[in-house]
Amino acid sequence: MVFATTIQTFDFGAGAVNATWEGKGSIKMQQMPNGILLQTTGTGLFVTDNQLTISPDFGSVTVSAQEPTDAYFVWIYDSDQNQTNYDIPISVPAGANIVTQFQISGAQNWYAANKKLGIVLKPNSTILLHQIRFDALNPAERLLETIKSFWTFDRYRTYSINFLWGPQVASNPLARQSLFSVLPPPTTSWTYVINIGLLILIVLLILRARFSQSDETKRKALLIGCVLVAAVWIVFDLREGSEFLSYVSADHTSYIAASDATRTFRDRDRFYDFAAFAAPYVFDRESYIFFAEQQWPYLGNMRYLTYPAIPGIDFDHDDTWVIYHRSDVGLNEANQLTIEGEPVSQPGKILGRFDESSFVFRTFQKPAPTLTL
Amino acid sequence: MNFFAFLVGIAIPVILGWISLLLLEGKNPVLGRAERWFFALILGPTLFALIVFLPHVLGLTALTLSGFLIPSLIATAILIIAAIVTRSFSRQSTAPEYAPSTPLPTWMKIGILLLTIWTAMKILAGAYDLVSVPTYWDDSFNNWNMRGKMFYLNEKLLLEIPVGNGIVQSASGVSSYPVTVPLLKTWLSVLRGSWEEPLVNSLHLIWFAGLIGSFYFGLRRRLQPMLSLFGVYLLVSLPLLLIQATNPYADIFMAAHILLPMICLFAMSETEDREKVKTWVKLFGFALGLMIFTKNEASVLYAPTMTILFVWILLAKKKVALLTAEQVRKTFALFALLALLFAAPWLLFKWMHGLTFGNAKSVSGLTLSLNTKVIQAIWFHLSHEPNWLLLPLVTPLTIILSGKSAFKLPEGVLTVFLLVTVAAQFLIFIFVSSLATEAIMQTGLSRGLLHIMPIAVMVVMVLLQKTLESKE
Repeated sequence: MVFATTIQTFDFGAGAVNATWEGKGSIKMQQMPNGILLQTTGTGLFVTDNQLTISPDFGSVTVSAQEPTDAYFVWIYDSDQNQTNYDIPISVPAGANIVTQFQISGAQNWYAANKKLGIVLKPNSTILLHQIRFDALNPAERLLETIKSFWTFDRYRTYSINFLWGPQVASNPLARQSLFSVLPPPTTSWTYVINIGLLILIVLLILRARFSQSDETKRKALLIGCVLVAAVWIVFDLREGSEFLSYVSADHTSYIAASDATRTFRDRDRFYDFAAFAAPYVFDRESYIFFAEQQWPYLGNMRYLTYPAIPGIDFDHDDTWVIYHRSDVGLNEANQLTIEGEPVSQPGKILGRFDESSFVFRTFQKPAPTLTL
Repeated sequence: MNFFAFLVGIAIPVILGWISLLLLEGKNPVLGRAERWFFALILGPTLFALIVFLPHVLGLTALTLSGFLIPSLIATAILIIAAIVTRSFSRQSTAPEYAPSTPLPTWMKIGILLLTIWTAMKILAGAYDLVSVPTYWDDSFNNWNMRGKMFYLNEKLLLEIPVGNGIVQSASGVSSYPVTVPLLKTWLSVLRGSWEEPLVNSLHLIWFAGLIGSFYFGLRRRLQPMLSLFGVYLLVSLPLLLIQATNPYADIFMAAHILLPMICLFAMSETEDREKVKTWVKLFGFALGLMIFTKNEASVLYAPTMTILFVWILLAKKKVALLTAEQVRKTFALFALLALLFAAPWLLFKWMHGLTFGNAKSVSGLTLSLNTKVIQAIWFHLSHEPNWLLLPLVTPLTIILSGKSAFKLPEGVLTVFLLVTVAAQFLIFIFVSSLATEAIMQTGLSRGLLHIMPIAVMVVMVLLQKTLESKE
């Protein structure tokens, strides 16, 4: 990371190990030429007493793994009598020499004190650990990142019609890149910072005007206040307006100007093209069965798009099944629809397939309602 | 075809509204030429919907081309004849009571022009998005567009929405919302001959245009042109307002219908011309009556507050001997008659069909209890989120700085309306347990605030101008 001015690394290549590490729990350690092979049968902790000499903003692990592996960066305070493990989850993808970063500054329960550091692996994990690295930014870099975070935008989301998170404070590149990936944002709101800062300045101006005998001073204070608010307002608007334009730009690129065959729309992927594809198959039906990856928002949206044909789950009456993004729904040898292998329909045929997990199916015969006495 | 349907579909209602305004203004017009068109953009479509709605619910028409055209064209013809008889078309419009164009420093004028260009860019981008993307938001596909499509395909007004599996959504839910928005979407589709999303969604731009124009001229009665333009910039810069205005939701529509009667009240309070007071009263009654035909909040919260403010203004006019007690009574009766004339059909229809008066939830039979999470949600919404930029900070500061004058007429009509409606909304969310979710999830909370944001910006602009002038 080119930003970091202070770096502390723990290396694990043969001859390069620069700290004392020990394994706790069901973990096996084996020195390899370019790292330490860690294998677990139960949960295993790989830990060192060596202390950090820097105050890191973020860290990273360099790992080779044959399968995606869930791990945790852990720390245990020396002074903690209970020796509680605090952790940050790390998802290590499969591959060789993969660097996975994790955010430290602002992490819950992370504070400056002597602590043991380590990695926890879940049972039956195998990774080759090459390096653990910690990066600390200098104050100028943190300030630059903090300013940049003001201009980091969210996307058009389902909540955008009701509220906006707005700019969030992040003081390092890793935190800034992951803004809005966790909701609600665990960061400090720029809006709050601006409101408080402005309120303090205005109160100071009011106090100055209040204790002045001169009308000219009072008038000046009022004008300065107006100009100050207008300036901050305009900067804030430039940020929010730019975010709005970025929404439109994203819609333009991913949907409006994209080809019909590939376009996607916000969080709905290709749903709207699927609905257009399915509509001709149900236009002559009063109702049909509709399965999507989740009920909301697809059921309501589908109802609107295919009205007067109404989607539902009336298995006893409807012969047409509209399936969207359901990889668990298939067809068995008897031509019945199955969900996780279990037949759920009478025999029929697929009228049209939109993609691997989205299609329209119709039973050969209208279902006979089950009689209940 | 979409563009043609849009032009014709908007032109007829707007002309209907424009002639109505002309006739109501009579011999003492108060609106400027352009201002009247902006008023007509808001009130015309609503009046048109009401005129179509009445014969339809009486069983005289279907929601077909003739069902829309016959009542609206008859109404337009009657109004045209009335305008010819009263020579309204040839009447010279007197200059409206706009503020004089005082000079401003060049740097300020350039700055405001740049901000206006920036604002226009945002509006154009939002408009492009609105007419180019599918219907995405819940309330659009569950309510506004859904009902419009149902009316269009069934050629009649339906109160129940089929949910599926033989179940229908009860009429006390979204169907309790007035039918204006869906009915106008039906009208555009009838003209077009098919349900087209770009067409039915483009309708929302009309209300946004009406809101912006009316807001500008509302400010012009107090501020010079460039500062009024700056007020428009402030209004459109509110991020949530811009998003709502460029998406198929109905809260900008509601906000526009709140703004007009408030402009009438403000101007009525300000004028010292008895005849102009009378004209403003007629416009106020007309606008308030039509406001009832927009969203439920109008009849429960906004109309009662405005009526009380109207009484306050009348009493103030009596106090300065501009109106006698008899004139006050007659003026109020004129207002009540006009308001009821336009409000009664929908209120009667609601009562006859057992539709609720709440925001998709009935306001009757609600249980009261303090909900502190709502207080936290309101605080978070106003202080931690940029929904209204700095307005939640600036508005109270401006009112405090203005002191007592903020509460005196004419400015007081805006300030009191703002404070009463904000307080009422907050108290409802805090104490009515079944509505608390609307605040915690920031759904009803944000929309309720959106309705009155134009008034909040107007309060800030008008009070600041007055305070600055008083220091000179």
